[in-house]
This record gives sequence, structure tokens and C-alpha cells, in this order.
Amino acid sequence: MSAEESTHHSAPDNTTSVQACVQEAINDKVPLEVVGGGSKRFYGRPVFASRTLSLIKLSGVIDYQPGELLVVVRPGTPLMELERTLAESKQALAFEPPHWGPEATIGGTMACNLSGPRRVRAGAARDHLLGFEAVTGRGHIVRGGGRVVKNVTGYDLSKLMCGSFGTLAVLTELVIKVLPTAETERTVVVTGLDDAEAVSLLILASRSPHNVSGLAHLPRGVRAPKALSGVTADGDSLTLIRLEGPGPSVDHRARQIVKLTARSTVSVEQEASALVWTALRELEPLAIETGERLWRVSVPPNASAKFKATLLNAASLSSTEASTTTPQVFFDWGGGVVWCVLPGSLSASDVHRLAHDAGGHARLVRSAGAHEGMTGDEAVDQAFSPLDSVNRAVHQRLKLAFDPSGVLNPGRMYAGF
Amino acid sequence: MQTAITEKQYAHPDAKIAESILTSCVHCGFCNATCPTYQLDSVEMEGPRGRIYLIKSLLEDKISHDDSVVSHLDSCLSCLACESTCPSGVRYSHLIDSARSQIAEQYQRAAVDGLQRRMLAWLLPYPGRFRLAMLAGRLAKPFAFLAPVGQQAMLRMIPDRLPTPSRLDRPGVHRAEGTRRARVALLTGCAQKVMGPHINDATIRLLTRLGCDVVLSRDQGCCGSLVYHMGDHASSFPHMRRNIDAWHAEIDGEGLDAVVINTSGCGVVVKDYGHIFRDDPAYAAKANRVAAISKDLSEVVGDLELPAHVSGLAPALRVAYHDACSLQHGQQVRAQPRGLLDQAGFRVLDIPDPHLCCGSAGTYNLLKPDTAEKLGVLKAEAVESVSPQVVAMGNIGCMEQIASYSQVPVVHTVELLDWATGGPAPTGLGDLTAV
Amino acid sequence: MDLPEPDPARLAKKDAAVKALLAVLPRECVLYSVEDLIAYECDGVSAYRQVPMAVVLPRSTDDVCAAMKILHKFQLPVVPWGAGTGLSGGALPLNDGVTIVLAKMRKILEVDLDNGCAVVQPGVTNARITQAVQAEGFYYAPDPSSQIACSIGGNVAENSGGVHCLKYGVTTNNLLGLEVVLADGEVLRVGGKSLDAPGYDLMGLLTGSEGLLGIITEVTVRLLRKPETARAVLAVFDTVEESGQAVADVIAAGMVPAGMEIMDKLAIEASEDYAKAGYPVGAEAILLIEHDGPEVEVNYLLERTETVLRAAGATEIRISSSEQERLLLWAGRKAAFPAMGRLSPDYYCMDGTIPRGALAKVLGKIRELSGSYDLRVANVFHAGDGNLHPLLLYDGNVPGELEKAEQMGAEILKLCVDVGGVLTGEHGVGTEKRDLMTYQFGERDLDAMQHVKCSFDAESMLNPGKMFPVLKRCAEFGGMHIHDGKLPFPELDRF
Repeated sequence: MSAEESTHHSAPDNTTSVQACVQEAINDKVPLEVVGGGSKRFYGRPVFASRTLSLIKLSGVIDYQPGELLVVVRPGTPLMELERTLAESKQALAFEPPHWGPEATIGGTMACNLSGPRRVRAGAARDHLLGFEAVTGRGHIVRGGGRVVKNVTGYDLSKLMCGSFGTLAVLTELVIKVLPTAETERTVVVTGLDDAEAVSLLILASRSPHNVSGLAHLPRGVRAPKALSGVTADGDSLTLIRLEGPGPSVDHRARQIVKLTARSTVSVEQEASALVWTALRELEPLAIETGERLWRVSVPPNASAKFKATLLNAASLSSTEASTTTPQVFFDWGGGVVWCVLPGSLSASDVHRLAHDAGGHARLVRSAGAHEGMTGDEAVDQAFSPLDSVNRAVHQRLKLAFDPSGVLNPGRMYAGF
Repeated sequence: MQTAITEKQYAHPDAKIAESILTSCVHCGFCNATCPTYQLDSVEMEGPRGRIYLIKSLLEDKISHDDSVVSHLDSCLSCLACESTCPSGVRYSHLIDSARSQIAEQYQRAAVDGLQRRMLAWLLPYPGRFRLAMLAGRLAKPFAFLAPVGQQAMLRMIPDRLPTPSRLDRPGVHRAEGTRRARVALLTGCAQKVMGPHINDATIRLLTRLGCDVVLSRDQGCCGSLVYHMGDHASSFPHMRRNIDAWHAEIDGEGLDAVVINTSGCGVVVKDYGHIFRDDPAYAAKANRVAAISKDLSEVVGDLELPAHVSGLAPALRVAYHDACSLQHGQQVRAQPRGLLDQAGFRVLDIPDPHLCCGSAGTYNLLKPDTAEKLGVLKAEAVESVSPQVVAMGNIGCMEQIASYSQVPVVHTVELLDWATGGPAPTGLGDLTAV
Repeated sequence: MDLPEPDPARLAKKDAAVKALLAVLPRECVLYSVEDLIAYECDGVSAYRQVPMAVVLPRSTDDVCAAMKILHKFQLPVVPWGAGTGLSGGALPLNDGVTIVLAKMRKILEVDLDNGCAVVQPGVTNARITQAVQAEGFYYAPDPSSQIACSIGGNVAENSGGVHCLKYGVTTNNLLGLEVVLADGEVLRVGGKSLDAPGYDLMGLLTGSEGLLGIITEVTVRLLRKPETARAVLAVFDTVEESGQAVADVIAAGMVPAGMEIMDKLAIEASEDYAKAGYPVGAEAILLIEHDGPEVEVNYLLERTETVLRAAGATEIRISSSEQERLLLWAGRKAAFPAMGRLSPDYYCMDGTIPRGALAKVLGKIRELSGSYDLRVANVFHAGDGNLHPLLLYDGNVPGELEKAEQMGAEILKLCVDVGGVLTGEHGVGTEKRDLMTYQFGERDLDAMQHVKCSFDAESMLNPGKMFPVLKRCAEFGGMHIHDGKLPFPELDRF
């Protein structure tokens, strides 16, 4: 960042102003950092830009029709506010996105394709984005998708927008599918299982007809959610299975799940259960110290226990005398996602390699001690899993097509685009 | 579909029927899902939709009868699984029959192929000739490997021992046991008389036991289907007319409640006599009357109902039931044979993928041995997958085919029903017959 | 529908291209004589026909790559074809192009129930996937009504739906990975057995891309555990409005049924005549709702649903209490399409999606159009997700009637867009709705889609002329302006 350039911060409150801002950046040949509430800045690679385009003022619900199961909303709308509005009509974002900060916006959520524990049953954020309006890196206002669930008119650009971290277009309007909230919820807890046993159980539960909507495992040593203190012994590993639905159904299904575990279990219900999953969603079980890194690894569920073992092995091999703490790891999505806090000594390329060998991919969520603009952290540089050459070529062409001037969040996902 | 048959093609007597059938097809492709040859090949022209399209294109003079086109139409089994599947009610059977007659008229077959077909048409409908040929063929069998591949299949089909001709199967009337409940005619067929006379025997015993007078007309014989399905309609008509005349005489004489057919391959065609002779002023009405009372054996026995206490007379064997295509698709008869076997005390097992043809398909396993073998092997695997003690079916062609590829004892449904109502145990079941 | 004139320069390459293909593929995998090609001249839309220059039937991904490299070298356009059962003319060949038929690639490569997925080749039919896993109690949820015949590759290309997609999603929500051969013969793999993939959601982009971005050569599908049970309820209403409101009420009561279907008067009459399922002939509308899941839950939901339906004014309610009864309640609905075939020599099945609340208005307008065009229309509506299937009855052998039906169809689709819906919910744009894309999308919206096209297929080799009314060249991008939905230079040769 050159000393002469001052940081220029825009917060437009309508689409045309957003367009003007992007157009200006194109004309001035100056990149933009596009943010919502800024709560996900630590996630991915930093953007070096002297101008910030904040969507925080492009906020508010435009149209909400509970009967149509959709809401049309501006991207800068705080996630909390949107969820409150939906809750008033007993509806919710079924993919239960993490907030990771009070400033979280729905736009940022969609741009990062963030989904919580219920993803196993309800699908990910990208499965709920029905349509959008956005300003591309060419300064054009485009609309994609629509206000209906069944839509195969043209390419599914909503899927491209979701998870592209603002590198292709600036979202200015979102059409999101919403679903009714369940009447009751209960979480069955099994304690003391090791990783392999736990993942086996989670897979068994996911293969059952009991419609489980949460499948997580916190190994020994990982901080238990506060809502479970007093219910389970401290320090024990916790395997959690959530059931949601009408009361009689949950009663029956929970009994079946308990039978399935073939072990003794405890249960928590309603608010307590909700708090458990909120804690998991917000990654509360994991504490990151300076020098450590929070990784999110997506693997085939039945490979997750073994993956963790290889990870721990690699971590201990890489460790210097200073770091003696065991990496904290917990499993969500039935084993499909492994959240891990790893020592800084374990290189990003190692993590990517191990994830790849397990049949999945890794993503650096946070590198403790890093802040905006800090260079030199090689892990942050390789936050996203490397792409093979064919994939990379397509990515580059898409970036070039939507944002030929490279003004939108350059380098946010990968170096060079 | 939109169809533009040329004037020249309209001249053919079958053109109008073909046009109405083509119009009813909406080209949805559902039929490909259940077509055995499409399953094997996955080429559009090896499925009903593609064959329909070829026939349409021929009638529109967009293509001509070249080797490729004829080959695709020849490779159709006429199993009619497509008719069962079609949501629009396309009468594929009539369409392919009309196409086959056009091929017979217009396409010059290769010498060996033509000779083989003519030989089958000369032999199969005539039990006397056929029997002699089988006896002669038995001598040639050890040398089968010397024969061209196409003829090897035929030689292999010849049994090592020819069954003795039936004594019951002679012109006349077999009287009902006890009170007469019905008077029926029996089609005794052609190949069946030579290869499976015990089937007609069991049929006659069962029907008389259930209270039927069973009429074996002197003039009834080959139903004409083998020759008809090879496209030589003209040669098949004399056989069909003879049958129609014979049974019509009975209808007008002492009366008939049904014409009973125990070979479903014949049953399809006999039930279609009305359609076949629709334009023949001398036979249209008679053919319709005969067709209207033509029934598969299982339908007739189902109507008559088995006696109440049959189960226990035969051991409760595990019987896999094979649906002959001509029965399940051609006549849409599926439940009756199963119901009867179940009532008779057998443990009836369904075979996976029952809609798929075994590969017999009339003369198909002689003319297209490679495809027939593939299907025969698949069917044998499917049969064996349910671990039956016996496999039963209602068509002699299937019996020969499945017996060639499976070790499971093969019987005709009627043999089991005959046994269960007091008749003798079917031959070839060995130890299983001990009660 | 104007079909293009073939390019003589391309036609001139036929012999050389066929020879090159025969050098890398067995004889039975390359078709090039008219007798062998004519059966491929149309897909499920037999009104549009074009005999391709050649047809290639690859047996593996390697075959597809080999063929694509050759065709890319010869610069010949390629049209992919799964089972050829599509209803939008998406697999309609080009006279000067080559059709690649994926039907021979029909192996189920792997079933991995622990990871809830199966890896299959594109020619495997939708129903066969479920068949392969049903003994273990699993199934593949998206169930288009052509499922016994349609291919999974085609399902991915069209992002197919089905009766149960309100609850279980469409194809794009039920995939984990794809392997795709690009226009230049390179292989792109996205996703796999993990629940998401790095980078942009290319899998989501490829799904529903109608053969314009790549040829699908392998699919990893998500498998679900089959629900314990299912029960259905049929409710009769005096007006279509009431039936639509009842649907909104069910959702407002917090329920998301597995399926919700509305049939209007003519659809009911025709189906009943054909299937004799006991539907109430003369009723203005019936609503069929199905709940599936654990038995306790299904029973509970059905009771609640019955209460809601009564309050909404249902004049008659029938609830299934056995699997047989459930099938009987559905028998009429399933017979709707074939029943039309018996009412009329031809029928044109439309496919548009509208906001549920607009149903009554749209049906009213369709009735008006039916009068002015003098063509009967029966309506079947996926009430759960707003997907409407007006069935226009006509006789193709009467001169001009097909064109009338097409015109009326186009007006109905425009109507869908006018009320805030979209042109197609399930069948895809293909050839059929291509020229209406400018009605729904503005110039910049189509530009954005063109960005995508150029990123995958810069030379527009794949399925040109489908989905988009104008072939833009990637190099001279952004040159064309569209005003009021009208294209400039209308006299230019269009495809």
C-alpha cells in the first residue's frame, strides 16, 4: 500500500450507487475490497485495495412472503435481523449459517457459501439462493435466477455467485428460500466414543430413516458447549445427534436413535438443544492461540476419522519444541467437515495434501495473529485448496469474463485472480 | 407423430393401419426402458422408438430397405414389452408385423438367411415333417461344430431323445369328468406336439378333470404365428383359415365356451385373428368370433376355478414363475398363472426383471443366436438368483430356451396344476416329486 | 420454428471427420449413413427434426475425449444426447454437426452408502440408480416422470425436477460431483464424495447448462434413505383459487409436504376417463398432497393437513390408509399425460413456473387464450413449487395447428414471466423456448450468461443454437443491443 493513497470507503445504499462505485474503480483502474459487515475478513486471502465498497447500507427486506417460502433481501442486512424477521413467521434459513461476529450480513454469508450443522439435511447456502441482482466487475447490473424455486431458465448463475467471495460481482439483491422451523428439537448425546466409533455411529444415524438434522462429534479435550455442562461429564468426548420435527415424531425417532447407539445416552431439548448447535455453528469448542490456524477440511464422512489421525501425526512431526498442545479437532456434517486448530508449524501445502489424499479439500479459515494487509503468512497465501490445471483455467476465464479489470476483491481466493 | 406416408406406400394394404399407429406414437422413448435389445445395445434403432421411426421413414420413402435397416427390424424380438410400457397405447405388434411383411416382399435376403427362413417355414408348422427332421437332426448333432454358426444353434436345440408322440392328442372329444361345466376347443399346435407332447396331455387331463369337454378338431393345427412373424403373411393365412373354419364350425355346431391355447406364443396370434382378417370379407366375422373366445389356459382355469382343497397333493415346491413375453405383454396375463400356482400350494417366486425376454421369441433363437444367447444367460441368472426348485412358464419356446441355459428343472405351468389336482408328477423333476 | 441452413463448408468435412473418428472408435460407435442417422433426427420433441451429419456412441470418457479432440480440430459443432427423451428440443441435432450419444455409457461404477452416494456413467437411467440401491433402503430422490427412460446425464444437463422436489430438491441439490469433457477434449472434474468443492461452484453452473458447457461423462449423485412410509390425501375444491389458497395454508401451518399437485377440470375429466381412479368428474380442482417420512410423523402431518384442508373449504377429502390406496389416489394424476394422448392426436406440454399466489390469475388467462385460439387446455400444476404444465391439445395433421399451439404456448410462457415467474421449471429452454429468453432476461443478464459460455466453450462448439437466440462470438462480445425484446437485423440467418 503506497503511502500517498488514502483509504477510500464507500457505503452505497442503492444498486445504482453500487454500480457507480464499481464503474469508478474500473475507470480509475483501482481495485475494490468488497465487504458486508467485515465479519469474514479473516476468512481466505486478504485483499490489497485502497478502496472499500461496503454493502452495509444496502440493507433491508424488500419482500417477504412466508406462503411462497422465499424472502427478497438486500445483502447488507444483518443476519441477526433477517433471522429475527423470519422467526416472527416461524420460518428460518434452513442451512443455519454461522455468524462468526455480530456484524455478519446475509450478503457475506452467501458470498462465502457458509452453512452450519443442518447442512446435512437441509442443504448448503448455495441450495437456498434462488436468484439475485448484482453488479459485475464490468459495472453492469445483472439479474439471475428468479423468485421461484423451480427454475431452469438459462445457466444457474446463482450457484456461481454463491461462494465466489465477491470476486465476480457485487451482490445487491438476494432471493432466498426459507423454510418453516421445526416445532420441537432434541439432541441425543453419547459420551466416551473415540473418533472411529463416533464417525461410525454418525454414519449409521445418517443412513437411518429417522431424518437426523445434526451429526457432530467433539473428541476428548475439545471444549463442550456450555449448554451441556451438568448434563455430561467434563472432558468426555461427545457425539451429538439432533432430531427435529413435530413432538410425537421427535419422541419416536429419538427413541429409535437411542436404540441405534446401543449405548447409554442423555438428551437435551428445545432451547438447550438449540444452544448446543449454535455453539457448534459458531465454532465455540475451538480456541485459537496466536500462531495457530483454524482449518476447515471437507472430506467424505467415512474418511474423516482416519484423516484426523494423519493430521495429528503430521502436526506432531512438524512441531517445534515450543508447541506442545494437541491440535483441537471436531467433526460436523456426520464427518463431512472437520474443523481443526493446527499449529503454525504445519504448512498449508501439507494440510492441502493430506486433505486431498483423504478425498477432500481444505480451506484456511483463520490464521491467528494475521490481520488485514499482513503479508508473509504462507498459509494465508494458500488459504484455498489448489486447483488442477483444467479447473484453474476455467476459474481464470470466468474471472476474466466477469471482472476483466480485476477490480473486485482481487486475490481474495487465489493469487492472480 | 406427424406422418407423411407417400402415395406409393399408401398402396400397401397395411399402410392405413401403420399410419394410425405411427400417429399414436409421441416419441417419448419410455419404450426403450424395457426393450431387451435396447438394453444390450443402447443404439436407438435397437429399441422400439427407433424401430417405429425406421418404419415411419420407410413409409415416407426417406430411407429404403438396406441391410442395416432390415437388420434392426429383424433383431426385434416382438416381445412387446414396449406395448406394456407405452403410455400412449401404441400397437407396436401390428406395426412390426406390417413392416416384416414389407421386408419379405421387398428385401432380397442373403442366400443362407433366406434358405434358413424358408426351411423353418416348411418344417415347423408341420408336425410330421418336423418330427422326421428332428430325428435326422439328432444324427447330425455330434457334428454341430462343423455347421455354420447360424445353424449350430438349431442343431443344439434338438433334444437327445425325442418324446413319444401323445396318445391323447388325436382328433375327437375328451369328455368332462363328472358334470360338464364347459365345452372348449384346444389348439394342440405344431412344434409343441413334437417337442412337448406332455404339455397337451397335462392340459387335456386338467381340463377334463375341471369339467370341460375338450374338443380336438381334426383340422386345427399350426396357428400360423411362426411364419406370420417371419413376414410371410400369405403362407400363414391357410393355417389360420383352417383353424378359424374348424373352430367356427364348433361354435356354430355344439357351441364353444373358449378356444384354449397353452402356448402363449400362439395365443397372441390367435387372439389377433380378428385384426389379421379385418379386410377379408369371407373371414372377418368368423375370425372375430373365434378371437373373442380365445383364451390362455391360465385364464380358462382361473375362470373355472381350481377345486378348494388342492394344496397338499403336490409338495410345496419353490416355483419360480417366468412370464413368457407373449403372455405378459402380448396378452397382458400376469396374475392368473401365479394365482393358480399359489392356490395349488406351490411357493411362487418372482424373478428379477420379469419384463425381459428370455431370448426364445419364436424362431428368434434360431435366426439370431448371439442375441438369444445373451438374453438366455441373463434370464438363467435371474431365475437362479431366487434359488427355485422348479421354474414354470406357459410357453414351450421359453421352456426350450431356459432349459438350454439353466440347470433348474423347467416345467409348463399346466404340468404343475395337473399334478396338484391329481395328475401324475411332471417328468424331469426327480426327487422333488416325493410328497 | 425456423431451423438453420447447414453450412456447406462443414458438410464438406464429413468424410474426413468420419474417417478420423473411425480411426479411434469401433465401427459400431460411429454412424454416418442416413439409414443409421434418421432415428436420431429428433429427441422427445418430434415436431423439430434435423438429421445429424454423424452420430458417435462413446463407451467411456476416453472415447468422448478422443471424439471431441477430433471434432474440435475439424471445428464441427457437437450436440450431446443422453436418452433423447427431453421435452424442449435440447438434443435436437444439427444438419452440419455431430451428435454424441451417451447411452452406451451405462455402468453404475460405485455405490457408497456410508458416504451416501453413487458414482454412475451418464447413460444410466434415473430409475436404475434407485433400483440399484433400493434393496438397501436407499433411493435417488429427483424423480421426473420419464425416469424409467431418461438418463442421469440428461437430468444433470437439464437440472431435472420431479413430483417430490419441493421437499427433496431438484438435480442440482442432489449431486456431489461431475466429470465433464470440455469442447477441446480436456477433462474437468468437480466435486467428488466430499460435501463441497474448492473454488467456484462449477458443479452448480454445469447443472442445467443444457449441453452448452461440456459433455457430462460421470456423475456422483447423493443417495437418501427411503422414507419409512408415505400417505396421500386428495381434496376436492369448488374453485382453483381455493385450492391454491389451501396450498398456502398448508405451508403457513409449517408443513412442507413431499408433493402437492393441483389438477383442473379438464385434466380431471380426461384422467378419470382413462384411468378410472375415481376422481370427481365435474370438480373445478383437486389437490393431491403427499407426506412421507417416519410413520409417526406422516400420520401426524396428515391429520394436521386434513384440518387445514377442511378449513380451506375442501368439499371432499380422501385419505389413503394403505399403500394400495395411496397408489390409487395417484393413479389419476399419473395418467394425466397419457390421457391427453387419447383425447387428442397431439398435445403440447408446456412448462413454466409462477409464484403460487398467481395461479388463479394465470389459469384464468389461459382459459381466455384457449377460447381465442380454439384449442383445449388441461392444467396440471406442481402446487408445491409453482411449476405449471398446461397441456395444449391439437392435431398435428391439420395444417397450421402445430403453429397455433406453439403461438399459444409462447403467450402462456410470457404470461408466466409477466406474473413474476420464469419460462421453464423443469424441461429446459432447449430449442423450444430459446426465442423467448429475451422476454425474461435483459441484455446484460444474457451477457452474464455469455461470460459463462465463453469461459467454457470460447468457440461455441457445444450445442450452438440452444438456449440463446443469438450466437454471440466471444471475441466481439457485447456488440449486440436488444431493444424491447426485439432482435436487430431480423433478416439474418438465425439459429
